[in-house]
Amino acid sequence: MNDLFAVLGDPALQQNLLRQTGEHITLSLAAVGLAILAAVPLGIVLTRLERFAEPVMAAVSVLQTLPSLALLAFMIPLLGIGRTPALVALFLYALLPILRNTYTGLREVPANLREAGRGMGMSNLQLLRMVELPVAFPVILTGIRTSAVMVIGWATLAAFVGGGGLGDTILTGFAMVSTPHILAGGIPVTLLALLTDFLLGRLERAGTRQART
Amino acid sequence: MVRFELVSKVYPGGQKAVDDLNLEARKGEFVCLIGPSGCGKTTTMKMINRLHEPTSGRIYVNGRDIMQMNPVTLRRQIGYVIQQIGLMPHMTIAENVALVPRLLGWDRARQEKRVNELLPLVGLDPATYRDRYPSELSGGQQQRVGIARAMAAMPELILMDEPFSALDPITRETLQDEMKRLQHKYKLTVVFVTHDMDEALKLGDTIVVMRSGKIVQAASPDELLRNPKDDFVAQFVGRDRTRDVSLLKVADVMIRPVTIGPEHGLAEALVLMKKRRVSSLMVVDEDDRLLGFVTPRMIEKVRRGRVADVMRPDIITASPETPLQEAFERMFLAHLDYLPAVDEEGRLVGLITSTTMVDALSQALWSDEGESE
Amino acid sequence: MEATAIETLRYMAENWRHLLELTGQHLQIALIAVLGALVVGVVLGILASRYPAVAGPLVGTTSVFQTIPALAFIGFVMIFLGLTRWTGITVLFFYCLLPIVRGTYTGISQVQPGVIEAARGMGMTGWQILTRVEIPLALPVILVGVRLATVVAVGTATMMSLAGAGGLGQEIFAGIDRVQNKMILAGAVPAAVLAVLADRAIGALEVLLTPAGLMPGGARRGGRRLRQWATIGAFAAVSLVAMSAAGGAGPREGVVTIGSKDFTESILLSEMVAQTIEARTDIRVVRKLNLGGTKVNFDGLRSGSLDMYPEYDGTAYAIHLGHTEPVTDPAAVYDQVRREFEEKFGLTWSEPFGFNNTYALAMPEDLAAQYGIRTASDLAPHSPRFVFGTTNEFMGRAVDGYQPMVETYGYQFKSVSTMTAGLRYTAIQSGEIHVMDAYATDGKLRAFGLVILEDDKRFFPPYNGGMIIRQDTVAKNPGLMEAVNLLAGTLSDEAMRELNYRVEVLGESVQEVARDFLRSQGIVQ
Repeated sequence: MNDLFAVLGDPALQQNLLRQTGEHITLSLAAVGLAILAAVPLGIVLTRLERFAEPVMAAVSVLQTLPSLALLAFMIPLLGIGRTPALVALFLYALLPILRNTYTGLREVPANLREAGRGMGMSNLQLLRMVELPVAFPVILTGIRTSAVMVIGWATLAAFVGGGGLGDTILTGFAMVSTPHILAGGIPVTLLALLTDFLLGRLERAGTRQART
Repeated sequence: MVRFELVSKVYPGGQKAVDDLNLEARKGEFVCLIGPSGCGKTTTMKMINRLHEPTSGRIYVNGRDIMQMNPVTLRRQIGYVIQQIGLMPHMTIAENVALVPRLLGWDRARQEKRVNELLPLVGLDPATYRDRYPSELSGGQQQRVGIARAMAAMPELILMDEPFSALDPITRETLQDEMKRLQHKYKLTVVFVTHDMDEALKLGDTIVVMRSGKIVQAASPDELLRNPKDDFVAQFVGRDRTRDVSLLKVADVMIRPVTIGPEHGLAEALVLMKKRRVSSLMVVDEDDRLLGFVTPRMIEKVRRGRVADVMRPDIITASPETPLQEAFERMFLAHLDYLPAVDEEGRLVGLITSTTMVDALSQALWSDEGESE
Repeated sequence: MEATAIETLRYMAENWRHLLELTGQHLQIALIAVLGALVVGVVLGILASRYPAVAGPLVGTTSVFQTIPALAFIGFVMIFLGLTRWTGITVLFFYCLLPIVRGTYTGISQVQPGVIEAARGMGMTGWQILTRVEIPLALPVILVGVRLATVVAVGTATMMSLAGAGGLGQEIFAGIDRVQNKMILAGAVPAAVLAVLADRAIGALEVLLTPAGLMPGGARRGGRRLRQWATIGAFAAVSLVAMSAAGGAGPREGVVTIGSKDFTESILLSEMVAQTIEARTDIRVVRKLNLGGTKVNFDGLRSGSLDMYPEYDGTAYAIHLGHTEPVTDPAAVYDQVRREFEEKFGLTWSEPFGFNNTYALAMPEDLAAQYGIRTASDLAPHSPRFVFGTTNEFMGRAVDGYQPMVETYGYQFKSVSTMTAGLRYTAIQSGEIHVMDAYATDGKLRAFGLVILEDDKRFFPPYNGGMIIRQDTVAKNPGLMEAVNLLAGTLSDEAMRELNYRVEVLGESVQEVARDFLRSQGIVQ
């Protein structure tokens, strides 16, 4: 423990940690953000084109089954090193939970709500915006939460390909036989994951409470 | 207001749901579509707001061919109420009611005003309910909101798809009454799908009986009851209904009797009579076989002892199959207030009383009297 | 792309034994973790279903485990268990708990109360109700949990080579480190296939074990069962073959286990020492090469799972012994380190191999020529134009790392980018970085056209290579130290660089390069 405080007292490390935390959050946000932008519309499209749903979901499930390190490793021959391969791998990894939950969330919208909406004269877009998406929102949010927590965890791997983030300090710890470094990187990233889980969980419950049927 | 001209609807599988249908609902008319499931009544109704599209024929709403209209615009002019109610769970009551006005682009103040007018109309206090969510309301309250929502943009035409069938009988009656009142007050044209003939008889100005995609008979309730066009209509109208007194049997009107075992004490028998408010008890053994009856009078004479000691076994009975008129004669001749019904093995299965009899007879005559109310 | 695929296939064919062994290690840790979690998780799940008050907290706690990032989790567990495969297994165990606990709990809770009541009415005991009614009915849901757990375990096991547990991740990390796509793919492809196969196999098991009455109609026809058995059989066969190839672990008499760090030079040195011991003694050698960083090897040595591994005196001086004062007499460091190791750790050093793999600064030849940079001091005035690329290790070193170096030479780099050792070469070639730290004997320097800047202020301490060996191992194995010392002084900087070059750049196998060198020295025939 004393070692930990000694290491944490080093201003250079403090600066590094601060920068890495920033990088970590930016990278995770970007990956999840892009995944939302891709998966939510795709999920919507799949509910309209049912016959593509199964093959697309199956393909994305396989992506999810691949070990994250392997997925990251596949990116190196394709995209080289740095942020880009890390971002792409994390993005692919984040897709499935959001896609799956968007798709099931929308499909589980009770038929009578759809009928009521259409009967009232909503256009398809209005039906989606005013009925389907709001009702499916808690389910979609659950998917986003799963993805976000996962991405924050796997973003530590970005350090292996020069993508930065808190993984850098942890890897330094591994390389240098330094438990304090491992903790200095490991504790913040764990807290980040727990905090994200907690906050999105709160949001989810708030959403679910409101949308009880 | 609504006119069908030779409308057919064939589903992709080749199944003909609606077959060359001609129908007219005049302005301010309450039209009930009724028939067994699969008869095409719901399809017919849903073609009016183009949730289903006709395969052939024309449908006019207010003189305009609906196929020439934008379906979204069309639907916004027509109120729509469905059985599952379909309130948006993520919106407050006020937001639900104001949905169509919002779709029509009304300004907020006008939406608010309309919500505050409508909720009292359906018996809900705006101050209490506007900001609640549907999940906080009972089924009956939810459907009140459903009706308010359908009326929000002041449509002249409202389509209702078995709106009350999921509600309990008391709530259903109340909402039927209120719907009828609102329809009268605002001269609404209503097309109402139901499978409940009582409901149709109560609400409809015109009842359209359908079978296999065709109209069998379209008539006023009175006409339908008096002159059913064929056996199908007669049976449909007559189902669970006992109009012809000469055809009634004991089984149709009998009630559950209050019984007691022979080994019970007399005090117990008195308490039971008092509690159930009856003037006699049927005495039965463990197998429900009728042994006799006791009245307060018999008990008064003895006071102590068991039911078996005072009961009278000499009792006139009827079978459930006995025609009601015959049973009535027996009661009348023997000056009885009641007549137990027993099956072939002597088991007590029911009881008719003079009150039961009056109810049955008046119900049979209701078709004539009900309308004049 | 196609070339990469062919190269990868060739590499996999050539190294199939090694890859199979890694696959075995991979499956071992994953399956031990899943089995452990299955036992504990089902018990916890049953408890949760019996005592609803504990269900919430229990599921909550196990889901917190799942939230902890793997890299951090390994670090936390390592504090308690050190760098053994048990660290890896423990982490995987915790990841597996949630799906199994939740599956068991949900499965049992979903059994209809009427069924339980009927069972109780028939006179079943609580235990009979659990084993004959609840668990069979809950089985499909439990298996869904097991399936999730297995996929997570097999997938995350790739990370566990960081904890010294081996597995296919080791090949991936090595590939990233050596900039060898074929190695990355040779590790990543089997790992991915394994995960998909495990998923399918348990999915098939799910179908087979679901009570017939719970199946949607028609799913039990013979043809379908055959296919499921085939899937399960395939997975079982792969597991058995691979795990038997991996063999058992643990130290034995007359056997020495040699580790190495995760870069070519360390692996080469270990291989050479291993071949020497095999040629000159009767001692059997177990190779645990490519283990990871300094910590993995050193902890392995101290815990006894390793007997020796190659190290550098400079590393030992600063890291293991924790000296912060600069080295005053480079020539005396090696002996000082050996003496202190024997006193402090019960570890000793072989005689030095002869080369000094110190840190050095390297940059592209043309860039150096363009700015007229020859020495480390020459770089200072131009440093604001350049991006410095380095490893995490170099950034963190207090005595001979980035900070003191910058202070000594007065550098002001435009920015600093950290990455694994091997990636620096890729990055400098693509122009993402311009100057990097390098190891003086790195074979890739030549291949990538890099020049070493002269350390004119003698900032970098010496890094003489030698073997660290457990003293008890030396005592138990007569002739061992003598055999290792046959290599003393045989490797100059130039010779070492040449050997590294042959492996890293020319792609010759480690075994072959090691054998060639030992033959040229007359150590083996």
